[in-house]
Amino acid sequence: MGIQASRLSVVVLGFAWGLVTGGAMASFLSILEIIPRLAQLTDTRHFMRLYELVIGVTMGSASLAFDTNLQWRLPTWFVPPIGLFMGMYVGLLASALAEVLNVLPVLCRRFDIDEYVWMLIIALILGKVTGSMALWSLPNIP
Amino acid sequence: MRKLAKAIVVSALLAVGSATAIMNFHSDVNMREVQCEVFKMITGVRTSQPLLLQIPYSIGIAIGVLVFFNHLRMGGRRDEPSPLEVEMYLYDRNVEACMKQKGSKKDGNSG
Repeated sequence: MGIQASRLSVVVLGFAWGLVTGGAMASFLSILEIIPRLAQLTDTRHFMRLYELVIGVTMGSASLAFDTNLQWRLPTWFVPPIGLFMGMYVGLLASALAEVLNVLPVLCRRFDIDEYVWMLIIALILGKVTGSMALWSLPNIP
Repeated sequence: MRKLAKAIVVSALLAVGSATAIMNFHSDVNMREVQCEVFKMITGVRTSQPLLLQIPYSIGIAIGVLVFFNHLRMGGRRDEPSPLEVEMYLYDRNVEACMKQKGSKKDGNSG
């Protein structure tokens, strides 16, 4: 009885923990406005409920897959497309961060270079790609 | 011409800065470990440098930024402003409001 009660309390604790983490992730995502941006670009605002569902289900199943050490043993060519999508998401995340969006107008105004915003964005992209490539090419230091 | 020179200097600053920032981010969230984990999850192979995942990932970052700043058209409405344009507008509006406020305060003091 004691063991069962303690197991039950662990289940309740885990569930509560997950609820808090999920809520935190959802509020973080809604601050960043990545999903409204994608919906605006593709003109699919009426699919917002689907996007919410996909995010929720994927987060839950990904965390389950990580925790249970799941391995699919799929062929290697599955890897690059997934890597591309991971990178696209991080690229969206990095540009949605308020810092980037606040710094660029200030820089443009200070130096009076409004017509060269595209150049600044290209520079940002080049920096990000070279930076991450450089990091991956370094040996893994534990 | 002077503007172009200034833009090039600012671009260099941004490039170096964003390279550092993305490296910081990757170390901060332990991205390499996550990539190794995902690689193991998909293929079942354990490796400490899953370049097959990491190189498309880096290219994906570029595409993500381009998509966010409206440089790639994805068949949506074209007349809508990009987030950067909205932010520029808000910044200009705030600067103007601030200047107006300052001006009216000065007038009040002198008069």
